[in-house]
Amino acid sequence: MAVTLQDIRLVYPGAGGGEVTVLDLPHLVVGDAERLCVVGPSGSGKTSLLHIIAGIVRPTAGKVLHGDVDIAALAESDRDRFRARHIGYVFQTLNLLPALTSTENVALALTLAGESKRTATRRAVALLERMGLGHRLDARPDTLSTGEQQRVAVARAVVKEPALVLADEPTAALDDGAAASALEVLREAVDLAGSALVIVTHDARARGIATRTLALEAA
Amino acid sequence: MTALGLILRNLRLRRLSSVLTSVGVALGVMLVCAILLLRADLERHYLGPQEGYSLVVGAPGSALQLVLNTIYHVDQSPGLIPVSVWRELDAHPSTRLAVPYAVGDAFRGFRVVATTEAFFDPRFPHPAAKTTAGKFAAGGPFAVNPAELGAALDAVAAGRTAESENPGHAVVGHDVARTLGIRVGDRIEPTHGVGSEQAHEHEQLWEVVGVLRATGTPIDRVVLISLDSFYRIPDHAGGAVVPGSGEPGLSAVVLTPKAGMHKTVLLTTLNKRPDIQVASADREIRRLLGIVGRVDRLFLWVAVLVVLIAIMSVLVSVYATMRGRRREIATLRAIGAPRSLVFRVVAGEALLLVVAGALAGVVLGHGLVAVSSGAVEQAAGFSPDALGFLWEEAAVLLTVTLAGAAAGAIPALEAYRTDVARALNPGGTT
Ligand SMILES: Nc1ncnc2c1ncn2[C@@H]1O[C@H](COP(=O)(O)OP(=O)(O)OP(=O)(O)O)[C@@H](O)[C@H]1O
Ligand SMILES: [Mg+2]
Repeated sequence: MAVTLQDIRLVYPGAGGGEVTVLDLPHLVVGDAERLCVVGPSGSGKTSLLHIIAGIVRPTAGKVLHGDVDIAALAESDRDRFRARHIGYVFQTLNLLPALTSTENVALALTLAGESKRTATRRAVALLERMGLGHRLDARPDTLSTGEQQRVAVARAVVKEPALVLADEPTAALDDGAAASALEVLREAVDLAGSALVIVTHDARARGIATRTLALEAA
Repeated sequence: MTALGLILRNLRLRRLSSVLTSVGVALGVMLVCAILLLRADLERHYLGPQEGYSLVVGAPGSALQLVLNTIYHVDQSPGLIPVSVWRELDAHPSTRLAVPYAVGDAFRGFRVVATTEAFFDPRFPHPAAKTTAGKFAAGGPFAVNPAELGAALDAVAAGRTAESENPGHAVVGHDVARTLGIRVGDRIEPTHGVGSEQAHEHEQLWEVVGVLRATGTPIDRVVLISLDSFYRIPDHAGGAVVPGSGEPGLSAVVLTPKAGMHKTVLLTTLNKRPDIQVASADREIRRLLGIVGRVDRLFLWVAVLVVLIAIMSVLVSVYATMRGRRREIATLRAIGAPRSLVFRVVAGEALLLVVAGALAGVVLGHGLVAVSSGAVEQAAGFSPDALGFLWEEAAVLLTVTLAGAAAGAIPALEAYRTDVARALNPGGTT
């Protein structure tokens, strides 16, 4: 299910009453199982782009086609549901839910996608074990190392085998060593799930796992 | 994972603050329930037994005191009235039943009332029964021998103590029999003076001839003895006479008028006399409850205020954690949770804290009543029932639940409105 962006514009009201164009993308396609790396200076609209693809933010103009569904044209609750089923998200900061264990954090993504609790737990455990976290299944995020936390976050994004995984600077919170292995984990996980990947990063190594790079310019 | 799963895990994460906010609600609800329970029991205790009693005739003084002493066996008797008043009332054409009371003795913590077989008349309200036999759990009534009574009264009037070969007869209330393990045929030896264990002992024994049925009224806690035997208690030679006249005295006469105008006739004629007073049991008790009611309404309002403050504190605490959880909420939304789930999670958290606190409060309220029942019995003469459940408590639970839902809705609405993009990308607006 390829993602096609057509004539995307994102405009925010500026400070002095004018407008600030954050994004202006005439055309972008992310093919099945493609891995796109998005780079650009701070403020160039990288996060905004991911939000638009995920349906968290509606563009001011343009179409965001997932297959032939224009997510920008859907009502909010439909966008939520679409996201729950078809899009995995890895955040810049470590955004695991602090009250839940590793397994619960991962399983939550599946139950939100409509999976039964039992199946969700079984699949979450299987994936975490496969990712080398079998010994931290019942640990809560505050007892995990940052590297482990990011691996759980990756597991949460890919566990439902979504068509698309979005990653917003997934290595920003990690030290060098952890960052390198996190990228590798992400690549493997995305491969395994058969998902396309859009990764926003400043990390030069990320280009190594990408099949293509898109450079955004400062607004 | 359902909303409930998320709620429970969030509460578990902040265990201590969750418990503390809940405890606030629990304490408030505990107070409300305890006050409601005590109030209900107070009313049951004081309004129940006076049904059927009509007029109480006694020495001049406080009408309320007379009623409390005669019917509830608390407080002191206001004084003595001549035995002749009883004879006169007994013969009065408006009287249906006149029951004499001579009080002031106690038997191992239970008050002793000297009376006649009129007490066991089916027309006397407690224990309610169609026949005299129906009033008894075991044994039967005693009857006063008029000759013996006359002799005893003459002796008291002359400053002596009459002798008799017959032992006095006693009938004990249900609680007395149960607490002291008394059965028909036992002999008991009352001591003089209410509540005092060390007072002189009368050198007399009373034979227990009957045990009354349980009534749930103060009569359960009374020892009845025959009036003639009362005047044969040696200590009473000087103490059982009306000061001044030297005539043998009674504490009170409980009077049931005939139907119709007769109550008014008795009230008006008797109220003219300076040596006695007539009190209407019903009126006195309602007046007392009116005064008590004003006080306990005040307590109740204070307790309600405590509950309100506690619910406010739940709101504040959930609101505070919610603000700190913006990103968490945005994360939930970003991985596909709908707004409604976020609302339910936050509102449910407040609701659960309040409801758990309220339920614990009801249990604690009953516990408080159970624990304090001894003290209440000492102070107010009745032992509250900690196990009964009042419909008011259900109303309290419902109201508190609704208030909890309302309190939860405020932070939940804030969570519902969270701007996901902004919360996920806090630097994005600069
Ligand atoms: N909700 C918003 N309202 C107004 N302006 C916004 C909003 N969100 C983002 N912007 C603006 O859009 C521009 C792009 O922001 P965005 O966060 O997408 O950049 P970025 O490339 O992800 O930057 P960084 O590398 O720092 O993460 C910024 O100039 C930002 O100020
Ligand atoms: Mg960004």
